Amino acid sequence: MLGPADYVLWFLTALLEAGVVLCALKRHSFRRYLALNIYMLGSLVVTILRFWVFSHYGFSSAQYLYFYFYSDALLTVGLYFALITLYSFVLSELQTGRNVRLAAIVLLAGTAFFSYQVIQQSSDRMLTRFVIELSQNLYFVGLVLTYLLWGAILKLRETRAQIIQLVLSLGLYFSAFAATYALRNLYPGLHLVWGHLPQVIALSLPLAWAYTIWRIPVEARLAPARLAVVSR
Amino acid sequence: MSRKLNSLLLAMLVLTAAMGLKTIVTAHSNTPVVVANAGGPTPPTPW
Repeated sequence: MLGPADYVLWFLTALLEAGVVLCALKRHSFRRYLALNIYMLGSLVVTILRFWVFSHYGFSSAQYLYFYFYSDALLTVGLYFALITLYSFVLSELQTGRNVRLAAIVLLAGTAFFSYQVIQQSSDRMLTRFVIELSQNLYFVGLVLTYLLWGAILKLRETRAQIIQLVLSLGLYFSAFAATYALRNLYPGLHLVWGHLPQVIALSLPLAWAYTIWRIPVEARLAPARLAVVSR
Repeated sequence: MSRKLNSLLLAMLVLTAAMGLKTIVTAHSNTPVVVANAGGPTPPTPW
């Protein structure tokens, strides 16, 4: 049984996801961040479809359960490719586009292979287990990739404020999930917190992206290298 | 050629780091998975 907080978070998520796409269209940034916007548009469609499945079949139904996990895996792959496009932005001056794509495909295939190795001993629901395992593993791959990208931003002295904000928001998103996962194992009794926290974290990404696209001009520059320099 | 090999090496290193991190974070874990792309409450896993 869902409470009012679940419905509010659900509605807010849809609102913010639509907000990102509208902000991108209004600021003429839809094509500039095409992968990010397609991911957000996909998220919006999935949010609406999940509500439709939920209202027709119920929260405890097999239909909602399978739709939830399969759509989550698809969106995680989408987010992975969105992150890779940020790599292309940051490394554009190094002419490494082909190598980034090669590494991205090898990494995705490696993650899929690793996920299959983990679940291959299971006797039932192989595909569902695989989908959930792949989704989980891609979260952690995304986390490592985001930190690596932040390192590249500092090293290459990337100054585009929008790119920096987008990478930082992804870092916050993935880190918060990893922290939630770890803390959930330490304090499994806090059902109320763990029930809603992932949804609250999920709100942070569209909120940060909408803010970035709406408020920060494309030509705005930051100096993230300052963060790494110790003042004397 | 060396750039391609570098890309492959980097991909393998990232995969190793990510799976290592996951192993640390989920050690002794019996709790359900955490996923939250898009909206909607997370259902319990089917097993």
